[in-house]
Amino acid sequence: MNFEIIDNVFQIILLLICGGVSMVFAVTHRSRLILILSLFYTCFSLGTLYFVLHVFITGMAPQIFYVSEISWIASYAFLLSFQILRSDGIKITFSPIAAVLTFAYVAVALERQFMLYVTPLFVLAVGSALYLSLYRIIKYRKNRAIDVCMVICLYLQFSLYMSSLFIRDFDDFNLYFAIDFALSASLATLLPLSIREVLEK
Amino acid sequence: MTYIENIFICLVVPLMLTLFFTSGNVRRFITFIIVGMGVCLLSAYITGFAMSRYGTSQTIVAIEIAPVVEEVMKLLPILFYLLVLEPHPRRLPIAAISVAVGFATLENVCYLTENGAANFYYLLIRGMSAGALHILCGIICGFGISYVFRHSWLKLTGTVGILGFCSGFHAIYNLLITADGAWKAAGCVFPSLLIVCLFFARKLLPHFLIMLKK
Repeated sequence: MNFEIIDNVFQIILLLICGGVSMVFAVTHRSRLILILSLFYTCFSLGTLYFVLHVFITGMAPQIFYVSEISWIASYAFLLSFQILRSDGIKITFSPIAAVLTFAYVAVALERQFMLYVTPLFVLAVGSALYLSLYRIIKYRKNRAIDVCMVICLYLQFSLYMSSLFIRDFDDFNLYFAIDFALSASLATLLPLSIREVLEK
Repeated sequence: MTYIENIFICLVVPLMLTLFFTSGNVRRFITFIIVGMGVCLLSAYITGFAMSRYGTSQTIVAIEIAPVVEEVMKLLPILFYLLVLEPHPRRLPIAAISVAVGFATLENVCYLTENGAANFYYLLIRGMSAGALHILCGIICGFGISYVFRHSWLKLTGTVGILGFCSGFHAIYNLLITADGAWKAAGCVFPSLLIVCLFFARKLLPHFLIMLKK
């Protein structure tokens, strides 16, 4: 079987489980933060599900316009909302280190056109989430585990796109799939860390 | 060839005449149904343009372009209503569902004109799947937008999120019904099934919904 399908099915199952668990937790603990995280997981897995179904049913990846990418951007928009909600009450100012790291990410993403026509939207959502996470790590210094995990997720996403520019073989296991597995695992790690933060409050 | 403009006029004129003798919620409901039909017409133009622009088949357009175009077009009147007329957020779900009803109605009538109305079973499935899908997206969009616009930090990201969520659902549905066998059956069933799930979730979790409204 094509390794691309195995990798994506693993990601869908893992993230749908995370989405379900976070939804149950959000309902039982009335947590808005976890609800937004649940929407993030659902949107992300919907995007991957569309991609897998497209490959499975038509036998090829989407050719013109990636609906999946709209779903992934939506999921990153929810991730940004998650960070904004966590940073409620914190005064966000300018941080040179966070700005430089974010700028480097954004510049490469824009130059390489990670998401074709919708790259600016992706850059806006991911860049803002990255700056907030880096800012919280550098200046805020509280509950940094989630922020570190989020930065890892965002840089893994970056590495995934970069590796897809060079790797063209999607049948056998290679670096691209290793990064994607790591991305799925780090996205899933956000859930226990967020639950811990909610329970600590 | 489907003369969608003629069908649109035929359906909209009686509804517009009704507006003279109605008021309040009924008038608002009918207005949004008309808007939904207009949005369906415009979406057909845009997807038609995209089809000729990219030189692709109708199937590719249906699974890759139409879902995003239709969901964006359905969202625009809701955003206009919200940002310009500033209604109470409680009115948004009904507005979004009405737009979806109008959209689904014109789409189904066009489908009937093209394929005939002889096969009752097939049309019932069509109503329960394509019709239900638009209603499902209307429900998600209406309740979602009314929630995200209560929080200033969530307005932009939440709106993008809801749009992506609805587009994803719509695209997966379109993809499933273009396939055969079990995939097609799953595509036909899941919109109605999710509406039923949302209905029961709404009934069973009133406290959670109250928390969300705050």
